[in-house]
Amino acid sequence: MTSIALHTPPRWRTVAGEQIRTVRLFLRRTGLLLLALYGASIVIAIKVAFTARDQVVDGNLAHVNNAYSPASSIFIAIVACLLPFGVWQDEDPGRRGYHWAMPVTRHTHAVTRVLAGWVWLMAATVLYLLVQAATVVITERITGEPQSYGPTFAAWEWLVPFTAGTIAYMFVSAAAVGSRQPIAWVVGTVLLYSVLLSLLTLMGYPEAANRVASVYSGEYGVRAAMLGHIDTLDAVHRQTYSSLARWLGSTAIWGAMGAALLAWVSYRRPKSS
Amino acid sequence: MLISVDPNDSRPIYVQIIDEMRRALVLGTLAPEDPLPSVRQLAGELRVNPNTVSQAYRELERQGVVEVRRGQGTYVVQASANGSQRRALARDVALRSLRDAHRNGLDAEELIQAIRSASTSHHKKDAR
Amino acid sequence: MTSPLPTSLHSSELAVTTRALSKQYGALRALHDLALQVPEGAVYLLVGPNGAGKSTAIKILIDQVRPTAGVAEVLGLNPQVHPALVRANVGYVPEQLDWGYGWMRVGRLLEHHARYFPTWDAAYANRLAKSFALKLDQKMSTLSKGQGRRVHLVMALAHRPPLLVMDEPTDGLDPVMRDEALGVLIDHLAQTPTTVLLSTHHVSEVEQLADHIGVLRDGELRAQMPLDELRRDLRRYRAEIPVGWQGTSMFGDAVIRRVTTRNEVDWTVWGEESVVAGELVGAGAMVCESAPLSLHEATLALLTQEIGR
Repeated sequence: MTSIALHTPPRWRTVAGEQIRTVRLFLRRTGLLLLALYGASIVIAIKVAFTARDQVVDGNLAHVNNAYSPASSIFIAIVACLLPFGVWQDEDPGRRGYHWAMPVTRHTHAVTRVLAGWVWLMAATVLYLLVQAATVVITERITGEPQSYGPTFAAWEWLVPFTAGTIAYMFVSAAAVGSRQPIAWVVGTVLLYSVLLSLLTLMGYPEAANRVASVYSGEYGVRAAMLGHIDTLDAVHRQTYSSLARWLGSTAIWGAMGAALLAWVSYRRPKSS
Repeated sequence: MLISVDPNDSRPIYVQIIDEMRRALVLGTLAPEDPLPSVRQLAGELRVNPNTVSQAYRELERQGVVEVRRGQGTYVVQASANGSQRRALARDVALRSLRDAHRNGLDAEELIQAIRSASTSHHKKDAR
Repeated sequence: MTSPLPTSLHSSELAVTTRALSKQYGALRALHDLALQVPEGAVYLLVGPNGAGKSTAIKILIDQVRPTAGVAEVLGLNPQVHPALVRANVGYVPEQLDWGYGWMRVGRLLEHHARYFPTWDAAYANRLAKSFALKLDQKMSTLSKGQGRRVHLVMALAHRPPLLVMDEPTDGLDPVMRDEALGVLIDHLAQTPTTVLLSTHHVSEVEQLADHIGVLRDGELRAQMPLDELRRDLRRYRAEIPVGWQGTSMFGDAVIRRVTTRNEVDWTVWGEESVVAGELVGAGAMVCESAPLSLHEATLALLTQEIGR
């Protein structure tokens, strides 16, 4: 109906790049805090190493325990859960703010920003692993004692922080995009699980309670995805239950669920519009 | 070029602009071969929609008062029929006065009488 | 309830048109059966009291809100079907004053915005920022209401969209700044062929700029017409009436404002001047004056008119 030559929307590449830049600015303070934490952890490790080197306990050198273990991906998972709150700060809960008025479809723009946050999460994870490795190397140099990475450390365990972080990030991002009170959803889910489990156990339904519990600690439960299915946090006295199959399986299941949930909330329009 | 428009005037704005241009021609502020201010300039000065200024210019062009020279702008035409401009202007003034008179309860004859006596006393003042 | 005033335009090229557009928020009826018509190249003024539905209608045009019924068409496109394409062609100034990221600096925000609009004219944006006296390294949240608003105006104008949709664009600006903004807008229109849809309470300032008007009240269009028509056919008639005059309810709904005293009437009537004056005289009244209304007076009359007498 019009003879005007229409302007075109921006290319996705440009939008993605700009979102990555913008999210970096959003996470400026978080990033600085993280860097401070990393720096502090290296400093502490160095101090511990020096102390151990100069101590003699029962004629043996004190053990230093600065080895990496994939269980420490918990740290990354926690960061991943907190990250969406930083990424979506400043956002109008009714989803009618500036971000949503751009010439990009809602679902694309939502996912693009989530993706931009994910890029920085991965960067933080890489840095985290480098810090771990550096800590080990430095400790070895100082104490002269080779630091073990723990018994049978498979190569795939290095990937656990990345996948664990991604899955946690997707779920919490879905809450951030899809609801006005994402904190309520996250806390509520955890509470629901705990309350349900407790009730079933207390009321004497052990079968049902086990089924609920397996969501978290079962063969393909959340914990399997988060930790590569390792039971203890202590790397030295670790019970090796790590299992590639279980990790792959749980990652696939929870990853697919997280992605589906994220896609669903991105396409859904908020109530007030 | 100083012209003004009044939103409360019953004439549409583009008509006011045309009248003001005519007035300038009659008074000599605008001479043949003079350029008219650009649409952009005049619209900005008067705080008026540029389309309105364009409309006025188009009408003036249609009446043969101005011409558009490609790439240069709008110019007053060489031989402006000054006589017809004066007559058109006088007619507008007369119509306005008649409307004003009517609003005050006066008829055309009373107005004409009043104009005549006012102009003679005015001339007497000038002569002194 | 039909209005005696025209509510539809006879125009073929429409930049914006809505058909039976309705929006219901639970029990609240924000818009009802709206048939907005904005011709291409027009400067369309949307007036109405707060809560009349202006912002809702505007938000539907850029797919920030979905209607409960009816359809909108912007530049030939349905905003629900092509939201990104529609928004790429609209320079939007929102109702709210907090727009953009508070912690971002003005210059950075403009850069951010520029990346979303491939037709962004950076040189023009700089000129606009200069004429609005904006400090590019100041954080958005530290700006005054007026300064923030001016940033929004730069954001809307700099990509030279075919359609400008502005919801109270001069809100928060003092009179001097409002005049400045008006000058900038006029200059913009002189350079770029644009259709403008704007809602504002400062009606007298845009009186010389607007050429169409839509009066929205309680979610319905009470009147929609070219401004020339409004000026021509909505007039205030003052007439002397004889004692015991029988014509006090003449013209019915066409009288927007009716003040009748014992020997005088002061009516704001919609209709062709010669017809209305003629009928008044024919009924025995003596018409002293029929004056056009300023846009401010006309809007006020239309908005305070009692409906459904």
